[in-house]
Amino acid sequence: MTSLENELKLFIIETLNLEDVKPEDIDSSEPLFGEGLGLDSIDALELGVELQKKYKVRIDPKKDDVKAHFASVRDLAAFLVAREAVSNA
Amino acid sequence: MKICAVIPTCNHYKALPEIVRRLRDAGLTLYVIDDGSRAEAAIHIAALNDPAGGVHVERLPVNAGKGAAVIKGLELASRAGFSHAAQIDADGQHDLARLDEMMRLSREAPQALVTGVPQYDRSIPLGRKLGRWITHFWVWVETLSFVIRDSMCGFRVYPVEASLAVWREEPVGRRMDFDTEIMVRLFWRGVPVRQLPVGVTYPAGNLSNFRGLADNVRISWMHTRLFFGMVRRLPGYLARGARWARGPAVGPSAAGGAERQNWANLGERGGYLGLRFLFAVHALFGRRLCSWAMLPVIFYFYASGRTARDASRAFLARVRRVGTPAGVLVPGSFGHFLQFGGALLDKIAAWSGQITTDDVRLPAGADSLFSFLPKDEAIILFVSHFGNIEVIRAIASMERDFRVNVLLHQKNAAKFARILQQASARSQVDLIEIEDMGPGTAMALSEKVARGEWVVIAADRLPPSGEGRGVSVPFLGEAAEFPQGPYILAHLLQKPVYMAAAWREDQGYRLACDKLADRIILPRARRSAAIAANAAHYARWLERLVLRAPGQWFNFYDFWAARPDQQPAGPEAAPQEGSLAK
Repeated sequence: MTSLENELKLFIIETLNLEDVKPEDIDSSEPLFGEGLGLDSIDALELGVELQKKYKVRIDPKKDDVKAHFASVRDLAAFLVAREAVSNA
Repeated sequence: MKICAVIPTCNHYKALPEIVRRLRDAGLTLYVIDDGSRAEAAIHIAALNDPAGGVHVERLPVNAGKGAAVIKGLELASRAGFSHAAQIDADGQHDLARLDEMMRLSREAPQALVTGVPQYDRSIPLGRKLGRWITHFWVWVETLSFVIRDSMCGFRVYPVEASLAVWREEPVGRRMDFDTEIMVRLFWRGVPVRQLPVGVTYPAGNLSNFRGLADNVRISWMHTRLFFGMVRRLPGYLARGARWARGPAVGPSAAGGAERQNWANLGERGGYLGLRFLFAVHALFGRRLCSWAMLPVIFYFYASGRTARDASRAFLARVRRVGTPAGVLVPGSFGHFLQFGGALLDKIAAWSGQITTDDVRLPAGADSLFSFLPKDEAIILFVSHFGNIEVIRAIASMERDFRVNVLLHQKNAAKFARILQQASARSQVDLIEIEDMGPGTAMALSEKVARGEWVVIAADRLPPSGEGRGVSVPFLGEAAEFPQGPYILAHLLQKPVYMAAAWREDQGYRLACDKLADRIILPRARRSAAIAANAAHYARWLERLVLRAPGQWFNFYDFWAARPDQQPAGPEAAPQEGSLAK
């Protein structure tokens, strides 16, 4: 488990107030929405807004495959890394 | 199919030899109808007669009118076995280079009337332009459709037999009123219309046979005939499901019906021509004439929009049951529709700068539109389809610069709003169409409010796609479904939430604006309950206003239906959507 993935798990738990969930309960590759962690579409919106505040990433709903980036903790981490790479360049 | 050409002429002979030469070179048989020209012209015209070369000149000894001359030509064409006839004016104003294209269209759709749509340059005199627009407008009313873009062009290809049948069976003007009237009457019979842009030139020293007053009276009388012809045909039109005639080829374009438009799907196609027209009429003649021009349209909405009518009646009955404050009259259903038309005009007036702050009565204690709103902070503004918030937005945007993001559910709403925007350079509005709200949109909005921009969203209608979540709260005596979206958005953006509405009262507008909450917080575990509590608060606020002016409730569908699977599917939906937010 990478530290970014771990950080994201904490971020999700804090943002959504998932009281009974600990980072180690979340599998990095399991789906965040629907089955898996069982988040819903409103959770997705909240995550999006908080993610934007904390990591200053932009998502263009027309160009980016939002669903794919938000599919799992691992996908989200990969998305952030890619974006950071872009902004560092 | 066999095509020939018919050229009616009255005293025009100078351009004729060249027209005749070119058409004959193209291999067409010609019928030149001399409509009682004076002797000198008649001699020149008669000299063109060359039956062996395919040029037939026929003279009407007494001037009978352009229409009569064209019909004479069509009769000759029919007798000679032609199925189609191109009509070309004799004064040389038609661009013959387009004839090939016109005949091609005719071959593609043999049942159709092919007509040129003149493309004028800016030099066209205003009076003439206005006259054309008035005719356009009436033709749209008479056909309940925007299909016919121009009904006055004399450059056409007629289907011969269908046209002669109209002439035999119906009263058609024989002079300058002919071009428009035969077209409308063919349209009513289900003859498709194909249109082609054509250049029009006014040859120097052109002599016009248009006789000011007499022809204007004639044309007015023609529109009167056609208007009542439309009214008489209306029951059949409605019974056939907004079709003028039976049969598969009905509608202006048999090819996929792509051109088929009427007021009912005004929002989906056609670029709101009618609305642009209203804008123009309003600018030129003011509100009074505009209201008159709209009356037949409102009547049509009322007569044809059964769902809307039923919804209006049920709503007004509900308001009477609940009871209005003393002095508030509940209108009848048609009055309800008329107020809707009035609201549309008010939007136009507001965006044209004709309604100002002075016309708005502010809530007690407020001295400007903004005195009760935070000065520099972003807010979330809940609006509705009650009254006419557009008016306030128009005035506000003139008073101060600020950016507003308006969330719209529907594409046609956005289209409408864009036209308003074009009309007013001052507006600083981003229109955001939300089909479904995803993290990307939420993130973009969050950035915007961080910059102090407002977000405006309609808090009364559910999004049309079934996806939208509703929350059931009491409203006017029964549970109604309100959208959850606005509360979720407020929760995400964490900015103060205000509710605003403006409605017509006496001669001006009255404004209500109240704070719903400093922040809306939806705890994950009690989300539904928190949404319901906020929505109930909003519904109570809205209910009080609606009872003060029930005729300005512009949701013309069953608002209390268990689950409105569909948004209002009627003409009323299209323009109204524009007020959806803002």
